[in-house]
Amino acid sequence: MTTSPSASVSSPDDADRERALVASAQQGDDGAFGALYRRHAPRVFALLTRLAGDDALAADLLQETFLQAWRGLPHWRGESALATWLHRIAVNAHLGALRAQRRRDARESAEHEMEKLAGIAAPSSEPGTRIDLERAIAALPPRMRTAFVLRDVEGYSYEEIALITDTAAGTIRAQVSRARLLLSRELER
Amino acid sequence: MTTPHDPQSTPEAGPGDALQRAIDALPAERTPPVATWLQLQQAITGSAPVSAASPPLDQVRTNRRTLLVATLGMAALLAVVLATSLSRVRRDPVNITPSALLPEERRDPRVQAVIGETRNWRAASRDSVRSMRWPREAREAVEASLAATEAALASARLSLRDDPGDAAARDAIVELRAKQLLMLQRAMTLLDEI
Repeated sequence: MTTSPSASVSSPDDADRERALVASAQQGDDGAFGALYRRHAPRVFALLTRLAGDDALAADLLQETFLQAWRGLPHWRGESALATWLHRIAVNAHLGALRAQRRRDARESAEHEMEKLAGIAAPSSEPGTRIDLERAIAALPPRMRTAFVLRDVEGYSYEEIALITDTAAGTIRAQVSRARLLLSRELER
Repeated sequence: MTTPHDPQSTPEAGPGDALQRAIDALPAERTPPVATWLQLQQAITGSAPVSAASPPLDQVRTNRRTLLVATLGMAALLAVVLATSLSRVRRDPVNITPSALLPEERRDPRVQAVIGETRNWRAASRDSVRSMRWPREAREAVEASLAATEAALASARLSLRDDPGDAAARDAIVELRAKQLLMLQRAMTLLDEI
């Protein structure tokens, strides 16, 4: 599912329509902004749900993303596709939430993450049910989940992920590798 | 955090066929809750009535922003007052550089923590998306506090170089570094939560 964030605009007419909506929203037209929200929110919400691993948090981050977009839109010069810009704000909103959580919860430790990993490997409460990849992704530790979703679901390069998460590329590779291993094991069950 | 690179996992290896098929089957879109848009709409238009039970998001943000600016301003002011009161006679801005660290400071993990947190602060300030909603006043207060603290530190170091037995200067350095670390950590926590 490694599709480009700009896939929300599918035709030249659609692109023209989007440009018009952006221009109106930049002038403060909240109706136009609402139309942009309806176009892009489902894709951004899918991304945030996977990154956050929690629907309620993803909804908060979605709100945060579009609030930042509303405030930043007058200054946005359209150098990238709107979907790409929104995608970046969403990823940063998620990373900001992760940072805040880490600061609040200084007790989070490698041991805690290992407990979460053990939780993934535990047998399903409903034996025989089909693997729910979404649920397995949500059960990954936050940083590992972020690395996996950005790399294998969203198609970022390791270097890009390293840059935006301020983490060494080697660490990202190791996190993605571990996530693949854990998720593949679940698939084989 | 550093994790050794797993040599068996290369970027070319990919997630494997079964996992890749499962990833490909993931939905690209999900319908967000209706309430998310309604709250967002309230925030951007400010047209909805203000309820004590559920204040509009923007109002909540404005209140938090005001509180944040006041809190950071107070913390920074205290840091400046502290730095001024602890500063020695001579002040030489040329010495406000990491190279001015005393040998014992270089070995002190607390100093390394402060340097690391200052580096984090600089990186966060340069990240336009992360710092997009940081109030300018709060950012300036933090920067002013950093500058005042560094000036006071430089002055205390000069005193220690002249007189290695100057216990007051030594205590001042420790206290200034501790305050600087606390202020930076608090500032970034609060700013990230806006």
